[in-house]
Amino acid sequence: MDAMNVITKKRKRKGKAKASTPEDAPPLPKLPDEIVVDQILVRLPVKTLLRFRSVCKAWQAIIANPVFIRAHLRSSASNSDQDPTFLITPITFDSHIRFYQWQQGADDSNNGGVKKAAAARLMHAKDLTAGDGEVSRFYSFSHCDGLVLVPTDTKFYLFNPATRDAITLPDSQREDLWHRGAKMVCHGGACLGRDPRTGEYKVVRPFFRDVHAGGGNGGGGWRETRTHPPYPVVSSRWEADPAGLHIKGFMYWRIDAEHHDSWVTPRGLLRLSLADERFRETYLPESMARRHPALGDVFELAVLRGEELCLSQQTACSGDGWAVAVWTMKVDDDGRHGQWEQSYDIRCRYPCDPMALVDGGSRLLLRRGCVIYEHDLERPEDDDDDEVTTVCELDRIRSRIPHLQTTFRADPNGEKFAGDGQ
Amino acid sequence: MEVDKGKGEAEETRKVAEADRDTVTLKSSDGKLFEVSKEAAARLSTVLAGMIAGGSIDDNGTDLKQIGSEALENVVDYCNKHANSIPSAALISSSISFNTAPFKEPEEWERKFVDRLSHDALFDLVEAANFLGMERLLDVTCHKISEMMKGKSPDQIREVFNIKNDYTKEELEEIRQELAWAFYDD
Repeated sequence: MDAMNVITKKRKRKGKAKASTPEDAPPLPKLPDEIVVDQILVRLPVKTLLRFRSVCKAWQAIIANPVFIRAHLRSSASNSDQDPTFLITPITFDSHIRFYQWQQGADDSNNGGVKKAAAARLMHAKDLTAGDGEVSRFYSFSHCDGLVLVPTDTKFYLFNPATRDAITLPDSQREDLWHRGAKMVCHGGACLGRDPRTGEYKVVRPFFRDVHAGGGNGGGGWRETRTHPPYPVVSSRWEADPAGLHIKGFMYWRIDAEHHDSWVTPRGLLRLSLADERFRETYLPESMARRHPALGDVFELAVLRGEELCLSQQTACSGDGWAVAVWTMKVDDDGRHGQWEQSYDIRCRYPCDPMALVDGGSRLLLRRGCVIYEHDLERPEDDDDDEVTTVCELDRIRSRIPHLQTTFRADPNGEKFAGDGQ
Repeated sequence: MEVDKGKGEAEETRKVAEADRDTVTLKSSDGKLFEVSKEAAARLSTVLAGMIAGGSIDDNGTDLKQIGSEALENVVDYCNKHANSIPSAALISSSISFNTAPFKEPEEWERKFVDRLSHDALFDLVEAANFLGMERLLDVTCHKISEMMKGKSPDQIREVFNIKNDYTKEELEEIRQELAWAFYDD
């Protein structure tokens, strides 16, 4: 009976007011520490926890403890299944970066069913000009456990918007390499992930051929990965090119078959295991090739619930509208990869791509530009040609640019940067 | 041998009779008796389930010396309300502990149930739930406490949790300056 051991001493109340209300209740003796830490503090938002560091030295130590930080992260991750929070960064043309927090349902109550544009709360804003020179380009962000990797044309930054911490990653030797007579801008395609064995956060930048893979621990410095990528990956040149994705210690990029002259280049994804730093291929689902051969490898990638790789492809229907086919592949805690399964086939008026799976897997959130839709997976099939409903339009965040650079699930967490050796 | 056998039989009969009852009687530290549905008690409390399965339930009131009558009344009230409500399937199947199963939001009646409690009663109920291994009740009560803590100042937290401030003025000022933004409203 574990529960018996938890309470060691019986509390004695003195002078308890008969009709005590929360306001006039006398100070209470302490609850057992296990309950305060494991059941109560673990549920609090990061901002509140940071403030409560000044309650007493014991709380300060608890809140800084890596074990508590992991527990808090797990707790907020499981809560976010019901109340997912998304981090949104509007595209900017200057060197300001802003992180907004958006939560579905936070503001559409009692509105007679009319969905207002959701209000997103500013979490953190920073001007990146200071010291490091002008930043004029942001490449696609990569994220892990609420940490955000921000590649720019001058530096790599790692943000923790929930704690408002940020570090600048050291420069890499690979910055100024030339490829076939052209200066390679290789700042895109970088991926942030966590090695589950060591708990270290790592940033990986894929290079091909003359340029090699660089791996580095956030703040620790760059080094080459143990093996080199066998193929080039899409996403190293343009701002809108996708970043790598991360699931449980694995990173994924699309293989760039178009710009690779070998006929053996497979169509699919390149996968890096952070554990052994080896690259392997993840092939595209066979049924995808059959579905619409002409589309080839035109697809979008996402990560659902931090455990499923999600691939989607849109095709125009004969009548109006679009069909979005979604395949998913599970990665278990031991890093074993399942098979691709064609999970959903969704009809909608506009083409959109999956963004997150919420509510215990019963609702799929999709996005098209700055509009977020939802699809109820438990709804019985009908002949409706629009199976998604609009959740919100996020263009209010920044009317100048009604478009989002990146949207993703970011569970607020108390994660401090690992290896912050700057 | 024969005597032993007879005794065994009698015990068996008594146990059967006990098993037939659909309530169990619980006794608080101050000697008050409470009846609670056996099914709900076994379903909601791992400790009571163990006692029922192990036959250590006393017909005249199972002693729960660690729990005062006010908290026990709330525990029993919660069990009975829970038995009457139609809980979602997910609620029954998930035994909750903070880092494995996702926490299900309190249902409307659970929210009302904890909202009417004073700080004092709420904290007592947390301890009782913890003692009895009632994970759902522990979850709901701790959720309520964490909700109450949001937006509170460190001073208010020290008061509610009866914590002594062991910082010097300078140390406090340092934290406040470093994290000034976190001291605004949540």
